[in-house]
Amino acid sequence: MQLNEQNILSALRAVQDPDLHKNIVELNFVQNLKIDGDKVSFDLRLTTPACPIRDQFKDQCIAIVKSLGASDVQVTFTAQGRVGDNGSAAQAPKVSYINEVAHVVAVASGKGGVGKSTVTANLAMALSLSGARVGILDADIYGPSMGLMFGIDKAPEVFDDNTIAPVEAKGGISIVSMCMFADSDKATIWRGPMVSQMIQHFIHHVRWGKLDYLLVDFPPGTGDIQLTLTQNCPMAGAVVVTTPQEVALADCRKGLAMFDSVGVPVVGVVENMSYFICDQCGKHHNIFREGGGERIAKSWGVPLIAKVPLEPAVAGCGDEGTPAVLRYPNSESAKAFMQAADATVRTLATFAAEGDGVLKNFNYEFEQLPVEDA
Amino acid sequence: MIQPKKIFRTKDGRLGFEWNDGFRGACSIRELRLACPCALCVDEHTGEKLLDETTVPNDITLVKVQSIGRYAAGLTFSDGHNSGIYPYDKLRELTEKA
Repeated sequence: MQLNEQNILSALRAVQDPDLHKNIVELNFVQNLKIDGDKVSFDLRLTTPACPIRDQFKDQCIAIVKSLGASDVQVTFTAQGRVGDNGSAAQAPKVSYINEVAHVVAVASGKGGVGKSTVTANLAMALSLSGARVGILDADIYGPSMGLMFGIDKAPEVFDDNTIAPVEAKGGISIVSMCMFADSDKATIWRGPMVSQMIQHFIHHVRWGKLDYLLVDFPPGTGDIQLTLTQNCPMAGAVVVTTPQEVALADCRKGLAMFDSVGVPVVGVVENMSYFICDQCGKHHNIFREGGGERIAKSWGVPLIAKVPLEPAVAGCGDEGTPAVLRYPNSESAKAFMQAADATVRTLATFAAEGDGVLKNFNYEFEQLPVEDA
Repeated sequence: MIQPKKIFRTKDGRLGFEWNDGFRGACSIRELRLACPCALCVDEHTGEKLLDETTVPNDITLVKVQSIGRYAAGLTFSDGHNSGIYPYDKLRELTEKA
């Protein structure tokens, strides 16, 4: 058989992408095809540099082209980079409103169910009551809870340019959450890249306006979403939430380690469900082993900024859509949240002072950099 | 945590950094391209280098440098390669060697 572009391309149509259900020619993966006698070379432009089946593609391509009579086949991988952008893994979109936010604060934990969203809602409310302009980005795409926490039943306004106006909730807090876009009884069943895209949309295309603090309610774990979040916005600091049991502390350590490796300083640890306050006698009961928060704070060298008790009346606040800080401002829980808010404000100020002169968010053309001696 | 205080270029076209620990250094663009840690250049599982150094032009230049969160920089090279995320501690090492 004769080696020409048409023959090769039509033969390569046999190679299917198992995820996209289309062949690699149709998907425009094959580029830069060069034929020199019986030597053939081309690029495979994959959707992601981390394509798990790229070697399989390569082997199939080489076998097919060789069967057409080529003696030597060179396949080079290139990648389209991050989805939804102009080809760069590192590229920030042209329009981004995140720069109007003075401090982006992560609220995270390694483990689910420790009360991250409750802590986020109450921290936000405490900050707002102290006079700051506050927003919440609910980054838990699969299990958003900010709608319930604040009793929101409005959908945010979406503008023609696809940007979003956040919903203003109790306490003047601006909120964006996946629950505003999805039916509460339907599950969001998305693979990682889709979620990452949604997260990037939330980060860059929400018109927060001028905010002092934007709290980002992280989903549990240390994976795709967490990396997307930490790579796409320069976090000023992180609050890590845990409960006192060893099983929660083990995951909390991983959360701390993650922030360490992505260069986000940890403001402190909040120990939630620290102890139970009896609604009959007011006695404090340590339901879980005592001192977990202290131990982890000490071993990681980060402060324990609050111990939030379990109080039946206060615990109901989340379900009823009003954060405890607003509804029972004199409860021990509310005091603990206000203490945490206070510590967060002060610690972020010291981080800003320590990091003085450090480049945080930059995007330079090489040609425009100043010329200096090394 | 190592972070940049200043980014510059040298007369001979290298990329220079001034780090927050006071260290100043620069690295040639080709050197940076060869050290690309992305999944196209280095096998994720075995760590084996996949980039064929002979395919990188000697006169390769840098187009862009931008921050990735607080721990890394993303570099866009004149050959169009832009998928590498260079953590600051790795960049500091690279600028130290030169």
